[in-house]
Amino acid sequence: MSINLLPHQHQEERKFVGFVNEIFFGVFAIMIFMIIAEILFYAYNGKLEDKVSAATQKISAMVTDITGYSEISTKLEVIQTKTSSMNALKNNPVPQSQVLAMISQSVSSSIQLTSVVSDLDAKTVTIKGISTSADSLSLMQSSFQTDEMVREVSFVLDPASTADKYIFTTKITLNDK
Amino acid sequence: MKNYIKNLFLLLCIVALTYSALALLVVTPTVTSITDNQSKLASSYAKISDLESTKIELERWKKNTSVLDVMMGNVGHLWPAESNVDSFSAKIKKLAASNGINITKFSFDLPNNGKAKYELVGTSTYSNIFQFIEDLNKIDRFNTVPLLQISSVDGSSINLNMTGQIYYGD
Repeated sequence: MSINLLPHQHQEERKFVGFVNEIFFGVFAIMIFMIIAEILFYAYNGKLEDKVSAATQKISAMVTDITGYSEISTKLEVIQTKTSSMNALKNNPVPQSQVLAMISQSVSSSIQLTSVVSDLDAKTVTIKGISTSADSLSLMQSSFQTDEMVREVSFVLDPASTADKYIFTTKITLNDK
Repeated sequence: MKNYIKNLFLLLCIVALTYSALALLVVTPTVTSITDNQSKLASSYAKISDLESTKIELERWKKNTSVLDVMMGNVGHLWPAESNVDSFSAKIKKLAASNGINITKFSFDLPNNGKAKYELVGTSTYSNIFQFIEDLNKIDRFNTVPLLQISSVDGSSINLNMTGQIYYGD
């Protein structure tokens, strides 16, 4: 027994077969593409693994070489550690001699210092003194303020001061280094 | 026309699904492994570079061991393994005397935890005290002066009260 398809039914069947072919071709092309990509990636990864292994061996050989210089490296380490510690301590925040140099440069002959307390742990310098000139005091203040190791300057005039005798207290806060 | 669009959409969906499944199951693990290996290789090369620099430096020092020993000796004087308080006391007293400072009190606390703290009280002039503090930086024993107090009682005699520290240990 044969089935006679109508003309429009033949056309539908051809379209369906064409569609299945397109899907098959698309999936097949993707599979080929992915297989090629995987082969390339796999080969590249293999080369990378070889390089990593060679580098690891080189590192272990170099570590063995360096271990042979243990006496020298110990001495260098001691020198470096102590030198770093000394530099850190010396510059925390500044050496005392630098504070005194700053005071010497800023204080003119018309100012007589009565007390200087430089506490480097607290990073403060308190200066007490007597000045016969307001200008000298002003110059001293601005000199302290412009010094790069100074963060803040406060100035207090004692109530016992007179027109020609200024009794003052200056507190300097030093910068962190 | 409507059927054509429907088929095209279906085709694209199937292709996309196939692509995603293959990418996820086959290629992604390899790509992840490549990324890991690239990262391992970069870090290994960096380590090799560091080790090479270290090795070159150590070889250089091996040829100059005498210089290294001198440096070690100098650092050992500045920061000795033991506190050596007596030796420093003698040095600082000598330095004070040479700067015209009249010491009225000099005492050391017990060395502790790599530090030995001392107190020095004396009298002199401003310029002598300033010079003494400056010279403290030049002696062959590293020391710091955390607290310095200078005061004038009658305008001529200046009192000095300072707290200093020396350091020791390996």
